[in-house]
Formats: sequence, structure tokens, C-alpha cells
Amino acid sequence: MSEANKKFLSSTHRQLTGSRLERLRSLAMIGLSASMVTTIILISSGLFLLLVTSALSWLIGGSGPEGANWSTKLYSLVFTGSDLGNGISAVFPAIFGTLALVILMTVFVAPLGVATALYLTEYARPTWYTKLIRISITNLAGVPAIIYGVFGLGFFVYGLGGQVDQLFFSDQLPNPTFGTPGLLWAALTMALLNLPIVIVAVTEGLDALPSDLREASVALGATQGETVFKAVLPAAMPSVFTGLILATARTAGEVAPLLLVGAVKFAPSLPFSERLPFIELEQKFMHVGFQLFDAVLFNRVDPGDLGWIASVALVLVLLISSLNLIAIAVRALVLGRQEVANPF
Amino acid sequence: MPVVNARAIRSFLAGLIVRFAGFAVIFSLFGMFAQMVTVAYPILAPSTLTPLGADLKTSAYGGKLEEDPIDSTRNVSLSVAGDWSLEGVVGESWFWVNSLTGFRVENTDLPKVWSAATAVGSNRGVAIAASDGVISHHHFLASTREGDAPWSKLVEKIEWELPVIKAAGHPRLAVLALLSEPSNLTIIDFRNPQVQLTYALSDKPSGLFWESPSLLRIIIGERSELFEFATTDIGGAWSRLIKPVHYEGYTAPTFLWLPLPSSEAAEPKYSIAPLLFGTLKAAFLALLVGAPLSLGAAIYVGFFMSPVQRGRIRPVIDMLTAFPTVVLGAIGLFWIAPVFETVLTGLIGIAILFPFFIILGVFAMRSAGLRLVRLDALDDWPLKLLPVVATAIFLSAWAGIAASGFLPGGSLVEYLEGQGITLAYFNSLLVGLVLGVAITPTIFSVAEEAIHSVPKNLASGALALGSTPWQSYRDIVLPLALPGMIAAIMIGFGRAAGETMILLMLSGNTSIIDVTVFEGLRSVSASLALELPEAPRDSSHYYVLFVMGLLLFGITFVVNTLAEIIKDSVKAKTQGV
Amino acid sequence: MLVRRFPWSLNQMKLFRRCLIFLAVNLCLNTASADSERNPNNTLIIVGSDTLSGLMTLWTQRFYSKNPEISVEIQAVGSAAAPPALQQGTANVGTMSRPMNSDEVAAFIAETGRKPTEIVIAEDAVVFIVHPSNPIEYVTKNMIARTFGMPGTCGTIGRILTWRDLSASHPFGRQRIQVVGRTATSGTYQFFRSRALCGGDPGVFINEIPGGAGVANTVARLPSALAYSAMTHANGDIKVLSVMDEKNKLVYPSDSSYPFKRRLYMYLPTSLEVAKGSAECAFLTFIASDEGLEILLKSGFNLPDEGSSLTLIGAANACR
Repeated sequence: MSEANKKFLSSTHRQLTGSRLERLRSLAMIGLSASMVTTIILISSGLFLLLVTSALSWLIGGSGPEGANWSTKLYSLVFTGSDLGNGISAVFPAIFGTLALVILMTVFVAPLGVATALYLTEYARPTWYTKLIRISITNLAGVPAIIYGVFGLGFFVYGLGGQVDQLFFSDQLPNPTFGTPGLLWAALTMALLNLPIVIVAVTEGLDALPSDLREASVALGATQGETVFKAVLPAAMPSVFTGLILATARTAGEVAPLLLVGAVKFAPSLPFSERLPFIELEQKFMHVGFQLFDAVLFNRVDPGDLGWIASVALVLVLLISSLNLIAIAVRALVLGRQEVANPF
Repeated sequence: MPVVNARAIRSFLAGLIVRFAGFAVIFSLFGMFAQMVTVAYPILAPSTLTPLGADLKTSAYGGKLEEDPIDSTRNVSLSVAGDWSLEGVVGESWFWVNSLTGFRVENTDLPKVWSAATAVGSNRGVAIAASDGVISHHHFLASTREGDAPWSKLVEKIEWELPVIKAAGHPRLAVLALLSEPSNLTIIDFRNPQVQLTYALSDKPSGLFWESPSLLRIIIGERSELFEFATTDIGGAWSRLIKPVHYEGYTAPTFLWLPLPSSEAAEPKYSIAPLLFGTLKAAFLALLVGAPLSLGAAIYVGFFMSPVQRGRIRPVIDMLTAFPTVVLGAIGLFWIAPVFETVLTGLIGIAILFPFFIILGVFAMRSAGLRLVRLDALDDWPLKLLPVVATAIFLSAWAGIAASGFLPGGSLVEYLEGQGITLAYFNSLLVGLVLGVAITPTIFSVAEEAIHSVPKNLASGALALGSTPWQSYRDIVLPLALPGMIAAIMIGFGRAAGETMILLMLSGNTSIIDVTVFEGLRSVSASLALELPEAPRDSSHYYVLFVMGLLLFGITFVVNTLAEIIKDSVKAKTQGV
Repeated sequence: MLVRRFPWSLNQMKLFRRCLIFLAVNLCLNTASADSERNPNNTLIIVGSDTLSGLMTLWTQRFYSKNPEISVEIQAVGSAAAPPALQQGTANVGTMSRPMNSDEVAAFIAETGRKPTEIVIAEDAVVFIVHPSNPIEYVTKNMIARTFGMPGTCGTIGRILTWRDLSASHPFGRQRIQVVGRTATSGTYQFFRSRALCGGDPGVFINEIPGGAGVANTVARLPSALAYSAMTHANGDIKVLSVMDEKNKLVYPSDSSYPFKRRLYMYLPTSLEVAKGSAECAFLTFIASDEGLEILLKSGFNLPDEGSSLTLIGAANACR
């Protein structure tokens, strides 16, 4: 036993009495900390119930255009929007825009995140360099989302976008094609924002793999690259999905950077086209989180009308929680495998 | 001999890609910082004066100067706000003259003997080169009594020995261009008076005037020379961003954030101190709300729960992350803010009575013979305590709300009004509450990791020697986990400092420095979100916004790195047990 | 043993990798080729005023349903966004609730070499709103300057902090007035500052809300609030005040002598001759039609005076 531990045990020896006062105090303090857990759970359930009751009372209740019943209102909320008056736009284009953003973001974040996680677990020895990488990852995780937006605006939109315009679209100047906020730059910004999440999730999955997988592969004559990319990575795929799903959940909820790099109030033409690569990269797009932000601050909501705000908020919350639940299930699969892995 | 075949080359390339990825992560972090510095850097640029060359077509300009009735060297009449103007003749006093009534009021603050006087800053101030070697800059201020003349206040004084030939004030800024013996042109920027731009002219000049805010024309005999004057909105004095500044029209130096003036003639104001203060204040208040909640839960989940239950309860607590901050802001804005007085009294009741009711409830559950909560079965206390917690919250909130009725005045707001305190609708407490709920999952996960990583056998040893579970936690685990918990709080602080949506919606965006919690605040992140989309690229406003973004980035960087160091030091201590 | 349990076989991994490469190549190809789909004739990007955003959304929703081949985008964060967007070409329609100031026009001319086309599309007013339970009926210009501005604004003396300062018999008594306004990028804010505050600075305790609707939402819930807002947002559970002029006569927002009437502008980056046949002209033609004007009136705006400036109908005619 180390010195520190010996010191701890000897110093506390005096205090270790099972007196009644101590037992009561123990009950009290554990009770308090357990009650904090309960309180947190109550807060999240309470917020959820608040949104659900408000949304339901609006759907089923009497307010709204003449003759509107709950299915009409639901349909308007999701698909058409304008029938609700006030220039409110529908949720569906926002969901589609978010989907486009997420797909594009995945294309950027998955390779970089997976490669970094592989480097940290499979290739690198623990030196100052890997420590620097880990500190960078933690710091990237801690950088506020708005700063990613600021950086994205300065570097991607005006910097890279301006260069792309000068090189490839100079005939359209001064109308910028890529030198303006759009789907591509938003996807890159969100990819950077979500990089730490993906790295951490994949690292978790890679650490959970038994070492005999790698040993067996090397024993059979594989090179390091083959071991990593043909044996280890396929085994860790579920954790890659976990990371991407968590990144998606964060992308759906994070509005602040998108205010600066591409989300707009109303862009009903979906960013898909018939030509390759089927996504319009320079267009602006709608986003569910931005939709709620716009609905809250830029729409007249009298005290009796809160129901539809709650509905939009509920759509967002349900989207994110279902993504989180899927990630949890996949993660349980990844970690649960550990028990079956080594029969010895 | 190493094998060189297709497989080996592919493996080598795979290794390169992976190494590149690792480097890219470091590169992106420092690249972000470097890029923002590059964008923000021009705000520090000093003002410049560049000669553009001579212009031979002077007769028109020469003529214009002669017809100009305002001779800055002998007698001057400047129009000030309203119906008043300021008139001065060398050797006599200055007078405020009302153009409607003809009233004349003497101004004794301005020097009587001067060689040049001119209006600066769009007629909001005057610069006078007195004959005793001092150039002074005064602001015009409205009087505080109805109908009275305005008054002037001395803002800056500069020593100036050379005799002044002529002076011309900048049409918009508090900048003075003057010609002094024998043939020097000097620009004095009163925003940054110690740095003066001087240019030696070839011949003795006879006159000067500002053609536009960036073009200065000097008349030298038959010729004229053009100069370009380029400056940022702060004139190269970066301290104007941080210290209180004496802005035009104000009686004393203050902090103001008003970067978009209502007309091109008004002065933009870039004090970022209130914004930084607001960010830090909001983060601090959020910690007050979020830390007890998350640390208490982390202690229970990290130490007292079995691994199975812990694996189940952690995702449930993480469900709070399903509420993005937009949703929390919306709930705060529409459901909490309208009834905040009630919420606040309830919260005060909860803060005081909740622990008491919980402890009572725990004892009650044990002594009623039910033995529902046992020290040897610690796993499911949260579930078993659910009715107790719900009742405790309800009772303590109700008690708080009822108690506020007994305050002098009848309600909390009335009582505060009686004390001279107004609770603003968008106040810091509201922000702190919602932000605290938002950062709870963050602090919880980091603190819980820290507590859980303390090896269990240390505590088991204590238990075996007869201590209660709480004692084993408090005396063994807590000292070891404390750095980790502190790191969790710091990470939570960083997260709260960077949060945008809640602050945008609930803080009221009032750029004030207020140490009480009853007023609103303005944060750096909300200002970035509101103003950056509109700031014209490469304008001073754009640069200052990037400076603020850098400061925010720096704060979170320092906090997060410190937290990492603290966490690592804990890992080193608990290794090898 | 292990490999069987995992969802991805080696062949599936290869296929996945090949798809990724295929997509990446297409991405590059699409980027490198001139994008002819995004031409000015079928893109309508509207940037600017939040006051006009509700109207723009309704208009574009109808317009898009009639002309689905024109892709539409609206950004409505504030009038200050319109001039830079028009100048850099990121928008082809700019909406503002105040006219462009000389700085903005100069910058536009410097960048593009021509003047923007200014069209007056509607008239509205900036009104002062309070909670329905507030018994106050009117304000004077002096009161406004002393409540909303820094001390000394518009030559006034003293500050108004509580409801009793505003009106001695006000039942709210010593309660502080919660002053609410817009953020600095808003055209309504700039208009209010230049017209009601004589160009001076607003007081530090004014709560800044990003959207006009947000201001009205706050006032609908806060009995001690006093705010300025565009008339179009002052609907629902809101009380609108009148203004008392120097002759002690009450002037209502609908009167022609209301001191805070303003015109709402739309700017095009090119002249109307050049814009013929483009999406902007198609849009102008739609909004000047009966259906478009009906939407305008229903949104709470007034038709612009056919005065000396170019108005909606005139612009639509020039487009034909």
C-alpha cells in the first residue's frame, strides 16, 4: 500500500466510530445527496411535462383558426405552417435542413474523429505529444459554441469561401457564391464543434476491445495498418455510430453557431438538387433549433398562445432524446460485448 | 531487412493518415486562436497620415479659404446643440450666444488668449490652442436647468510649445489637424493624445481644411497637398476598450457599449468591460444554482451506488441534456419570467427549508419502522425518496411563497421596493437559475467520474473498521476527489461563460456593471450573436467583436486547461492503489 | 468468434469506403464546375428588417407557391444587415425600416459603382406600448426623451424613472418603469434614436430584445413595461398610447400628423431596367398586385403615399 494511503487510514482511525450521531449524520447526508439525484430527475420530467401539457392543450383546445381540430393543427405545424397565421413557417423544411446539415457534417467529422481516436489508442505511445492532443481535445470540447461560429464566419465563410469564389466563381463576383454563409461552411463548423464528442466515443469503444483481438491479428501476420483498419476498426464500428449519433443530437440543439454561418428564417426550397452531389452546398438552410429561436423571439405569442411554441420545442426535445436513447442502446451493445469477449 | 510490398506501403500510408489526424486536432485548436488573432489584430493599428501628393489646381481652394468667414485664428463662432452657439475673439472672453433670444452668457472656462480654435467631433467639442503652450480639448454639455446655456468641460490638455499657425477640427472625430512653425503638420487624436502624427512640409503652409473625414488638404502658397488620414474607431488606443472613457456629451468617464451610432456623426462606444463583467457574473450565478445540485448527485451516484444501478441512473440524469439551451431559454422566457416573483420566493423557501424537510423525511421513513431507507442498501434511495423529495419541494416552496406575504409591503417585490431595490423583469437571478439547470449535466458527469475513480478499496477499508458510509466518503474519498470536483466546477463555469441562447433571451442585454442580482446584464456571447452577422467585414466593430471572442476563448481555454491539470494530478495520486 | 457479432463485415466496409470516395469525388467535381443553377433569375435572397419580416414571410410563402422554380431565402435580423448584404452581393433584395444613411450609400457606390434603387413599399409608425392593465393613455415627446434616453437628451432636463415621475396620479406609484426596446442592429431602434432621442444615446437600463415581436411579447406579460415598437407588432393583448403634441392635442398613430410615422423601404442592388426579367422584378410584380397589397394591409401596414419617391406600384410598372 502506498504512503499516501497509509497516511489516510491512520489519520482517520480516530474518527471511525459507529456512534449513533454519526449514523444519523450519515443517513442525513446520504439522504440529501440522493435527494439531489431525485431533484434532477424531477426537474427534467417536470420540464418535459410542462411542454407536453402545453402542446397538448393547444392541439386539443379551442384556439386557432376556425374549424381546426388537432390533426389539422398538427399537420399545419409540421408541413404547411402558414395557415396558422403570423407568418409562422412549418417544421418540416427545418427538419430536412437539419438532416442535410447532419449528413454533410458526418462526412467531415467521421474520418477525422475516427482517425484521431485510432492514433491515440493504437499508434501513439504516451508522450508529451499525445498529452497535447488530449488537452487539445478537452479544450475543443470546452470552447463555447458561439466561438465556433465566430471562427467559422471569419475563416470558412470569408476566408476559404472568399478564396473559392476568386478561384472558381470569379465570373459571378461581386455576388459571392461560397463567400457567404451556407450549408457547406455550417457543416464544417459543426464538424469541428462535434469532433471531441466523436473522438471520445470512439476512444471509449476502442478501449473496450479486448487486446487479444489485436494480438491475434498480428500473430496471423497482419501489418499494423491492416490490424487497425481491418480488425480493430470494424469491431469498434458501433462506437463510431454512438459518437455520430451524439454529434447529431448536439447539432440539432446547438443554434448559436448557426446564427452566424448559415441558418435562416425561411428557405423553403430544400437544399437538394437533381445534380450530383445532390446537395446544394452554398445555399442557406433551415434548422429545427433555429426555428424555435425564431419562433420565440421573432413571433407574436400572446400569453394564451404558448401551445405551439411548446409544440416546436417538443419536436426538438423528442428528436434529441430519441437520438440520445439510440446512442445509449448502441453504447450498451458496445460495452456489453466485453463480457462475452474473453471466455478465459 | 524491412519488407516493402503493397501491404506494407498501405499500412505505412494508413499510419500517416492517422498521425495527420492527430496533428490536425492540435492544429485546429491553435489555428482557431491564431485566425481570430489575425482578424482582431488590426484594431490595435495606430492612426496613419499618408501624403498623397501635390495638387496644382489651387486657385479654387485658395479662393474658398479667403471667403470662409470662420477664421480660426482670430474670431470663431461655433454652433452647438439647440439654439446656442459659442463665440470667441482673441483677447476677450468666450460667450454662449442664443440665436433666438440674443442672450449672451460668459464662459469662463476657456482660455482668452489663443492662437487657434476650432470645433471637433461634429460640433460636440472644441479644441483651443492657447498661447501659453497648451492645447486643450473641451466637450460641450447640455445644462441641467431649463433654458440655461450649455457648458464646456475640459477633457484633455496637451503641452505644445511650437507656435500654431492654423488649426482645423475633424468633421466627425475628436481629431485636430494643426499647422505649426516653421512648416509642420501635426494630427492630434484626442482619443489617444500621446501619439501624435507629424509631417514636415516642404514650405510654410498658409491654410488647411478637411475635405472629407479621411482627406486633409494643406494650402502651401500656390499649391496644395493632399493627405489621407486613416484611423480605427478607437484611434489605436486599446485601453479605450477597457477603461472608463469620457465620451462626448457625458459629464464623466463611463463604460458604454453602443457600437452602432444613430448617425454617422455620432461617436461609437466600445467599452467591453460591462460585457466581460456580465459574462462572468452570469457564470458565477449559474454555479450557485447548478453546483449544489450536480455535486450532490455526483457524490451519490459516484460513491454510494452499485455499478449496475450507476449504469442505469447515469443515462437518466443525462436526459436533462435532451433540453438544448434554446428550449430552456424559451421555457424561462414564457413560463418562468412572467411569474418570477413567485418562483423566486419559492426558491428562497426551498433553499432554506429543503434540506430540513429531507432530513426529517429520511428519519421519519426509518423510525416509522418501515426501514425503507437502509444504510446497507444504498442503491435505490432516489426512487424511495421520491415522495419525500416531491413533498419537500412542494412544502418548502409553499412556505416560501406564504412567508413572502408576511414581509413588510405584502410581497417580495413590494418589500424590495421599500428598500429602494427594483427587481427587473430580466434579472441576473433568472439567468442564473436557467443557466444553472443547463450546466448541471456537465458538472455532474465530470464530478461523478472524479468521485468514481477513487479506488473503492480505500473506502472499504474504512467501512471494515466501523465507520459509517458517510464518514468513509467524507474522510477518505472526498479529499482525493476534491480536485476533480473543483475541476468539474471550473468546467461548468467555462460552459456557463460561453452559453449564448439563454443569455440572449433572458438577460435583458443591458450593458451595465452592477454587483447586485436584481438587474440584468449583457454577455459577450449574446453581443457576438446579435452583432456579428451585421458587422461589415473589416470594420472596427468587426475587429472589436473578434477581440471579445478572443477574450471569451481565452477565459474558457485557461479554465479548461487548469481543470485538466487538476484532474491529471488526481490521477497521479491514485495510481498504484 | 468475435467478428460474427459485429454488424459490418469486411465486404460491407469496403463498399462503405467506396461510397464515401464516390461522394467525395462528386463533391469536388460539383464545386469545381461553374454552378449554373444558382443564377440571379431564379434566386431571391431577402435580407434586412425584422419589422418587415412577417410581411416578407407571408409574401414569399404565396410567391413561392406560385413560382416554385425560384428559390427563396429570408434573413431578418435587422435593417443594418441589408446594406452590407446588398453591397457584397449576398442578397438581391434588402428591406429596411429606415432609409439608408449617407455612409451606407457611399460604401455601396464605392463597392459597386452605382446607387441602390430605393422603393418605398409601405408606411407604418413607431408606437409606444404598455400592458393592457396600465391606465396611462398618452406620452409626450419630452416624457419619451426623459424616459428612454440619457440625461439631457433632446435638451430635456432630468430623468423619469418611476411611473409616478411620468404621471403624478399613476396607480403604479413608485414602481420603476421597465423600459424595453430593440437591439442596435434594428432599423426601428435607429429610427427611434434619431427621431425620438434626437440622435442621442439610449439609457443603460433599457432592456434590448432582438425582435419586434419579442418586445410586444414582453410588454404583454409585464404590467410595468413601457416600450416602443413597430405598429405591426403592437397587436393582441397590447395597449397602444397616443402622443400629445405641443398644442396639448392627442395624436393617434393613425393620424397623419403622428410624429413617428415612417416609411419602410426595399432596396435593389441594380436599377429597375437591369432587373427586368429577374426574380426581383417577378417578386415586385407579385407584391404590387391586388393579392400582395391585400396581404400588406392585413399585416397592419399602410400603403405608401404616391409622393415623389418611387413606390411599390411605380416600381412594378417599371419592371414590366
